[in-house]
Amino acid sequence: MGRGALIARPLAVVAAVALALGAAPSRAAAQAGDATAGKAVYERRCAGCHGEKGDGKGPAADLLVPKPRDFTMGLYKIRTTANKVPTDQDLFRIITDGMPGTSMPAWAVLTERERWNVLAYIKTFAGEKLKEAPKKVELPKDVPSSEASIKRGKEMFEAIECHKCHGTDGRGDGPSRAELKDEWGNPIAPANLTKRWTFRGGASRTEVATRLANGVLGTPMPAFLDSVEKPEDIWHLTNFIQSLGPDSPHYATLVTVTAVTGAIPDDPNAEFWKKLTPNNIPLMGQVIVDPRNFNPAIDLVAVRAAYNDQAIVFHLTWDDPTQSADEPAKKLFADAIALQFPPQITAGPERPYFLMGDGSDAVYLLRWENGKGVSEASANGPGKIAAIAGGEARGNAVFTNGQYRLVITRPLVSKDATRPTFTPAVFVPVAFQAWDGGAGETGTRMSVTSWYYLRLEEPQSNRRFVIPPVVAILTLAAMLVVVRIAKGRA
Amino acid sequence: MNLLRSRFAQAVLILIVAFVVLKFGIRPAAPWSVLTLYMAIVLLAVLVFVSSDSDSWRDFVWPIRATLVDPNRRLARLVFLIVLPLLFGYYAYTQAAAKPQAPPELRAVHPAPPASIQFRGKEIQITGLDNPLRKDQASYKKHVAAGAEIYIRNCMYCHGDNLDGRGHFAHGFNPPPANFQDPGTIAMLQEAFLFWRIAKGGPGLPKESTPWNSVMPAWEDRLTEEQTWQVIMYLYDATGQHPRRWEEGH
Repeated sequence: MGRGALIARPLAVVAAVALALGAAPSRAAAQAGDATAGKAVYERRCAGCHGEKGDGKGPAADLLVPKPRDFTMGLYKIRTTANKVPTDQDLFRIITDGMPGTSMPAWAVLTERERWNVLAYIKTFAGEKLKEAPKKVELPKDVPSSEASIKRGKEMFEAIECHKCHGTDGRGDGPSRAELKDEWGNPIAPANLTKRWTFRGGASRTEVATRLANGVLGTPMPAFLDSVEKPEDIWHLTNFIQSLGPDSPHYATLVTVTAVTGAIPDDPNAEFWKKLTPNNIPLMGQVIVDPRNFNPAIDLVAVRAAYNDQAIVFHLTWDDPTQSADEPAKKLFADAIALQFPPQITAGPERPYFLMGDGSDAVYLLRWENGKGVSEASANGPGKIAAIAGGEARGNAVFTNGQYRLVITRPLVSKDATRPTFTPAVFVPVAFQAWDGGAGETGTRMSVTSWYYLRLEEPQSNRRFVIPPVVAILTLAAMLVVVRIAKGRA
Repeated sequence: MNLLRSRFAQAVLILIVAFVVLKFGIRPAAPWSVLTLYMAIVLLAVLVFVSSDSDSWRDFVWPIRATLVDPNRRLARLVFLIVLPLLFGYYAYTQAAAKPQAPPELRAVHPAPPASIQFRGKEIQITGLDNPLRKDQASYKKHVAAGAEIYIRNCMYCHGDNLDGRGHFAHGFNPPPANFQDPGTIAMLQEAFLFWRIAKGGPGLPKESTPWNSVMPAWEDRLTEEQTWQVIMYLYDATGQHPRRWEEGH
C-alpha cells in the first residue's frame, strides 16, 4: 500500500462520518413491492418454515416453538395499529429485525428491495383479509419513569390482572399459563417480563407501550388501552415492566468465585448473595443424543459463588414457571440442575467431552434435584450417571414466583480422585445442565452449555494498592538520577 | 516555522502522525499488540533518522538535555518529575487491578482429515473423494431440495437460516458454529472434508482441535451417506460457494 493510501484512509473515514451525521438515512420509506419477484425470495428463504402455501406448515414447523406464522389468516402479532391490519412498515420491520425469542431471524441479508417484494408476496396469502386500511394506534402522552410511576404501574398490573398470566414478579408463571392457547390452538407461554431481550416486538419503551395498548394479535394478550383507568396508565405499566429486569443478560464468559474469610450463608435468600454480581450463563437445547430437545425451557442460569478456607459455595438462580417433582404418570419430572467439572484439574487443555463425558473420560457432577436434594455423581455420558459414595455436598433450595434459588456447599478439598479440589487463581473448566421437569424435561431432554471457566479469586490482596506507589517512586528515583548525571556532564 | 525545523519536534510529530494513522486508518481496528509492534518499528526508524549525523543528533538531544539541566527550565523539569511517575503509577494500578479474563481457547480450525473413515461400519476413502451425487446433473435440483430440508431440520438451530453460523443456539457455544457464508470455511475445503466433519462431528476431531469443546454432533448416527452428500450440496448451492478441488496427483 502506498503512503498516499495510508493517509487517504483516515480522511475517507472522517468524510464518511461527516456524511452520515449530515444525512442520517431515516427508516426506509414504504415501497410498493413486486409480489412476483417476492415469490422467488419467499420460496428460497421463507418456505422452509412458513410453508410453500404460506400456511406455516413448512418442513421445519413441527420442531419450532413458537410455530411459524400462518400467513393465510392475515393475523400479525406485532403491529402499531388500532385495527387488525398491520402497516407495511410493521411487517417490514419484523422481516428486517426478526423476532427475539423465536425462530424468526433478522433478514437484513436480503436487500431492501427483496424485503419489500417478499412482503408484497406474503400479503397475497391472506387475500381479502388485509384489505382494510391500517389505522395507527394513538399512544397517550409519554410519562417518564419514576418511583411513583413504577408504583402506579404495579397497582395497574394487578388491577387489570396481568399477573394471572405473567405472574406476580412477571416471570411468566401466572396461574392461567397452562390453559393459554393461540388462535391456532397451540399452547402459548406468557412472556417472561424479566427477560426483555426476548420480547417478540422489541424491548424499547414505545414498543412495550404499543403492545400494551393494542395487544398481540393471535395470542391471548388483549389490548389494554381502553381497560386501564386512565390512558397514561399504559406508560406507568411500561415503566413497571421495564423495572422488572435488565435490558440485556450480559452473558459471562468466566465465573468468578469470591474469596470470603468468614462463614458463607446457606440461605439462598440471604443478603450476602444479593451483593455478589451474577455471572449469567446461557443454556441451549441438547440436540446430540436422543431424545433431543430443540426448545429448551430453561435458557439462563445466574451463577454466584464464594469460597472460604473450608468450602466452596455455589448460588444458582433460574426461572421455571412450575415447581415439579417426579410424577411420570402425568409426564412430569423433577426439576433439576447440575454443575459439571473434570474429576481432576489438569494444566493442559484436555478435558472430558462437554456432554457429561464419554466412555474413556468421566466428569464430576454436582447435582440438585427437586425432592432429592444435592448429590455428587460421576458420569461417563448422559445415560451413565453413578452416585459417588460418601457425598459431602449439601444444598438448600427455595422456589418463589417462578424462580428457583439454590445454594450448594461442598468442601474445597476432595478426598478422592473422582472429585476435583478447588485451588485459588486456577482456571477450572465448568459446564451446566438444567431440566424443567414441568415441561417434560428429563434425561437427555435438557438444556446444556459447553465448557466455561470458573476461577477462585485470590484472597483479598492489597497488590493493587502497593505496586502503583512503588512503581511511581522508582520512576521518580530513576529520573532524579538521570537529571543528576546530565547536570554532572554539563 | 522554527519549531518544525527542530529535530525533536519532527520526531514527536512523526510518532503522533504514525499513531493516528495506525489507530484510526486501519479498518477493522488492529489489536493493541499489533499497534504496539508497529509503533516500536516507527520509533526505531525515527531514532535512525535523528541520529543519521552528529548535527542532527545534537539537534535532537538538545531540548531533552536542556530540560534536564537548564536552570531556566526548572518548572518544566518539575512538571515532568511529578507527571511521569504518576502516569507510570496509574498504569501499574490498571494492570494490578485488572479482572482476570478467561484464557483463550487455542485450536486448529481446519485440521488435516484422515485418509479414510469408518462410516456406519463401511470404510470410506476421504483422500481424493468427490461428491458422488454431482455426477448426476439431472438430479441436482432434487438433491439440493432434499439437502435444504435436512439442513432446516437438523443444522439450522446452530448454523442459522442464513447459513451464517447465527442460529438459535449459536451464542451459547464456544467454539461457535461455522459460518458457511464466510469464504474461510466451506469455500476452501473439499467436499470430502465436509463429509468427514459432518459424519464424525466434534467427537471425531483430532486433539489439536479440542474435540471435548465442540458441540457438533456426529451425524452418521442420523444421516445416511446420501443424505450427508445432499446437505453438502445444499450448503454450496445456498451460499453460492464452490468446493475446493483435489490437487492433481491424488
